[in-house]
Amino acid sequence: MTGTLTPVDALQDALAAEHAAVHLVAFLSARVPASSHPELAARLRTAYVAHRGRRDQLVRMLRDRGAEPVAAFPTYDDPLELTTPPALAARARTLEEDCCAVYATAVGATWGAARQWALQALLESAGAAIALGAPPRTWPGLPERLA
Amino acid sequence: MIGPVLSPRGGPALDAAGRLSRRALGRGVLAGTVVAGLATGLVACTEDSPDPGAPAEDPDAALATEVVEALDALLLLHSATAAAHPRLARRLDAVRAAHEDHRAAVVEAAAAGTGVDVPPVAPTTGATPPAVSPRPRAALSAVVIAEADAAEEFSRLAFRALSGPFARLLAAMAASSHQHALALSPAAAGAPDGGSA
Repeated sequence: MTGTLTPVDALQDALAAEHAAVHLVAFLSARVPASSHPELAARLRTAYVAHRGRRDQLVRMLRDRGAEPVAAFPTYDDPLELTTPPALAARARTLEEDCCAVYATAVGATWGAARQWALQALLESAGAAIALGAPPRTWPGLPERLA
Repeated sequence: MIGPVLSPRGGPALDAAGRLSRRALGRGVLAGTVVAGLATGLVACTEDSPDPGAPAEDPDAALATEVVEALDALLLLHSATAAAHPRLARRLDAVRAAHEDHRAAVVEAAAAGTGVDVPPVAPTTGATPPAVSPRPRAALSAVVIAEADAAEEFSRLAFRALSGPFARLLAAMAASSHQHALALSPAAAGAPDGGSA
């Protein structure tokens, strides 16, 4: 199976990723002017809502399993060097592809309802990457298979 | 290696005991083990067989066969569509290549198990080619629908897989078909402001 990763470990990893994603998407979104780049701004807002929703769902899933959900870090390294919309969009695409990897791992480490949820999250992140302009991948979420 | 989504401030300086560092390491180690696990995932399901001397029926073998059948149907559709509409061939080449890679990975995983009889090469003769609309837009829409259906099918099979690595493999295939369906659909024709990397 997938090493020694337990379902709770996999969900905690996903939660840690979503904490960071919520922070990062908020950071990126704040730097994209909706007036000049309405489409990108809207997609980042959509991404923010999605990540926040999954973060909250993960907290509930972990508490339902008797685990204490990992907390967000007080601060993160913001990519202050990114100032242009193309660069901000590229970072958002990378974020979604990183989330694909987290959720693909969670699929392999879980079963039942948690696996179903992780599958859905994987598809959502994969779709978000496309919406943000990423090319389709042969193996979304499997970085070891990237050419 | 899976990169961290975002490092905590001072992330690179996190020591080995740091939570994210430990998790990032765990994910990286996981990725390494899964590379091997992809080939051995089906075997892993049979390692607890009560009678190791007898050929055990791999619980995921039927899934592997279903996956390959679905991929072969997709490949036939892509071939027929490209043959009927050469101007679409270039757009479909990458999708076809992805599915050929998917098929090879499933065959590889199945070969590591037991009781699996999956043809190593997609059938090119004997199968009835699917009907393709004479209108390019309709033909492309049929491919988009087939990819979306494949994403659902691979998700369903990933849900059922007993082997974790095999489930992960099928999940990635589902995500790939989902992405190709979105990218091929007319609504996805325009990338947002940033464009593709």
